[in-house]
Amino acid sequence: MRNILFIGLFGLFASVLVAFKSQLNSTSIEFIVPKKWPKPIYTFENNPLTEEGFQLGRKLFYDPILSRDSTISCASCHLQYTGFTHVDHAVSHGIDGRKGTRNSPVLINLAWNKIFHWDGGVNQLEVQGINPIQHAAEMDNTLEEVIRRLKRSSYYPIAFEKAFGKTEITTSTIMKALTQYTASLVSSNSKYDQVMRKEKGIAFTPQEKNGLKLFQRHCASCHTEPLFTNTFFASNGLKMDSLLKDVGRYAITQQAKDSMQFKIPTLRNIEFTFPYMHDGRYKKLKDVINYYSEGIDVNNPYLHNSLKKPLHFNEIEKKDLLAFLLTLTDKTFLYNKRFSFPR
Amino acid sequence: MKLIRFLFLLFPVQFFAQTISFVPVFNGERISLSSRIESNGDWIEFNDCRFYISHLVTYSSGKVWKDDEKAHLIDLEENSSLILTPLSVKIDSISFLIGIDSTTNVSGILEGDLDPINGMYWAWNSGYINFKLQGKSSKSNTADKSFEFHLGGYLSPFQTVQSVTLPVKNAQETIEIEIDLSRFVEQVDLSKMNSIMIPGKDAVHLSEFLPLIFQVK
Ligand code: HEC
Ligand code: HEC
Repeated sequence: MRNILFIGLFGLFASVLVAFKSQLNSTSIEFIVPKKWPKPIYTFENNPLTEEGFQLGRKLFYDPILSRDSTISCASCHLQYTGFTHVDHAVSHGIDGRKGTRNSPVLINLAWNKIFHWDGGVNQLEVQGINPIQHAAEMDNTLEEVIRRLKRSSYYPIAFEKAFGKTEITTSTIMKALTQYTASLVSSNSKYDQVMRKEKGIAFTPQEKNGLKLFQRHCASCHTEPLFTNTFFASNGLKMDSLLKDVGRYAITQQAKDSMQFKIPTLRNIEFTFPYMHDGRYKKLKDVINYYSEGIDVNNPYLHNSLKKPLHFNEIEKKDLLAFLLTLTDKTFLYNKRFSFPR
Repeated sequence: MKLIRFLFLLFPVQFFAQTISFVPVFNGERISLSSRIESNGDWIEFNDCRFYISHLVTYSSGKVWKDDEKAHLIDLEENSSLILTPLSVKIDSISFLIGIDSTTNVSGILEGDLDPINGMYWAWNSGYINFKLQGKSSKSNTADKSFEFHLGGYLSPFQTVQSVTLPVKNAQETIEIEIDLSRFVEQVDLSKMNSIMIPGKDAVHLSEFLPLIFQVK
């Protein structure tokens, strides 16, 4: 009995020591929620945010080691300067130049998203990263191969130990590291935000002010402030592309009511995230405004009620709306060194 | 959990080891999974049968023991046994879910048997495959005679997880649970339906037969 007690006490002591050591290795950081924003959905509950975890995720995000032939990294399709979307590509291009079927979405304020991908097929941020790794038109790799390569590298085993307290590299630690990085991509310092925070010397021009009014009247039910998405799905009336035949959320839920419903995207940094829509069909923001103004087919059976009445903006209103949308550009986000290629 | 183990070291409680093993059966006869079964000029063979067991509970004369593992991945070819530590080996009945509950399905990235690397996870439509059965049959009208059923889905109204309670008549060190694949195959016209790879109506329909194929010998 005394032996058992001794072993037990020793075990307790050892585990305290280990816990202490792994805490020494990583520096926890606070996830800052901008003032007056809603509570984030992703709370880092089972994945405590640390400097080491974030840096590891950042390294992985920019490392083509994740793709089959080591040519494509996450950043190939999600470029920081364009709000982490694939600039100038209607649908994303991956390995061997293979084309995907959808436009890469921006990676902005993901911690406030309930559900991911244009069709909402991904139910939590941590499990998103499996998709690009395995997708034949993206990185075309396997989780086994990724783990094998990371284990062999001279950098990663130590980085994983620093971040998660164990050298073992698993699907879980890879995904958690990526999530620490992507969930940290918060954009909240556009002119719009500065005006809302009543920062000194910052004000909307009359044009922007009028644009905001139009926006709040016609757009904000879906593109709701401050995230500029209500995080639900809708149809804004786009006709189905005859080649891609994308049915949107129906592919996931198999329910008629979800036909042609797509995730409502945020409009933050919209100036730089072209081309627009799930299939990248519009190159210019002007085209999008024209579409909402007079391009919508009001007889489209999937069209959301709020857009059934034609908007018919006049030329001044179009300019005002555009001017407002440009106030959503956040250069401190697009050029934040903390998010850029790690040197 | 560590603390509980530690307390048990100080105050030993009697634990029993109990093995539950899952054995493939066809028409009541034991089979080895990949062998070809012939009858009336038709044939069938299986090359993969894997499924999740979760929320396992044993009942023994009023005592209830709950498994604290989230889920077990059973592979009828390889890992077809579980070792449990119930409160008594005299088990009267056993209950479990075939598949993964909805809470676990939305819990982000998980480890061990629930690691997506095990090939029982849909990445594009996040969620676990509860039950996977693949093979070949003369009845299948695909070019290579193959069939594949990946049954899963947790979103309403297409939930596929099933619950089973099995009485255990004469409890022994090892409880054998037979899985009679003929009872599943009987429900499917392989000439018409030979592939289900997504959640939906068909997956729900076929999942409803799963509890019928489990039985304690
Ligand atoms: C070949 C281009 C490509 C690569 C490489 C790529 N992505 Fe994506 N990403 C996309 C596309 C396209 C989508 C939208 C998929 C859909 O809706 O079906 C997407 C969606 C996402 C989303 C969901 C965003 C949202 O709001 O719904 C996240 C997060 C993401 N990718 C992160 C990553 C990470 C992390 C990596 C690296 C492991 C990566 N991506 C690699 C093209 C790519
Ligand atoms: C009924 C909801 C709804 C309303 C109202 C709405 N939108 Fe949208 N918006 C969407 C959806 C859904 C998409 C994505 C559609 C797709 O790709 O199929 C979208 C896409 C966009 C995009 C492209 C974003 C990107 O990253 O590709 C812009 C820009 C846009 N909307 C601006 C506006 C403006 C401006 C208004 C008001 C005039 C407006 N929206 C009103 C639902 C709505």
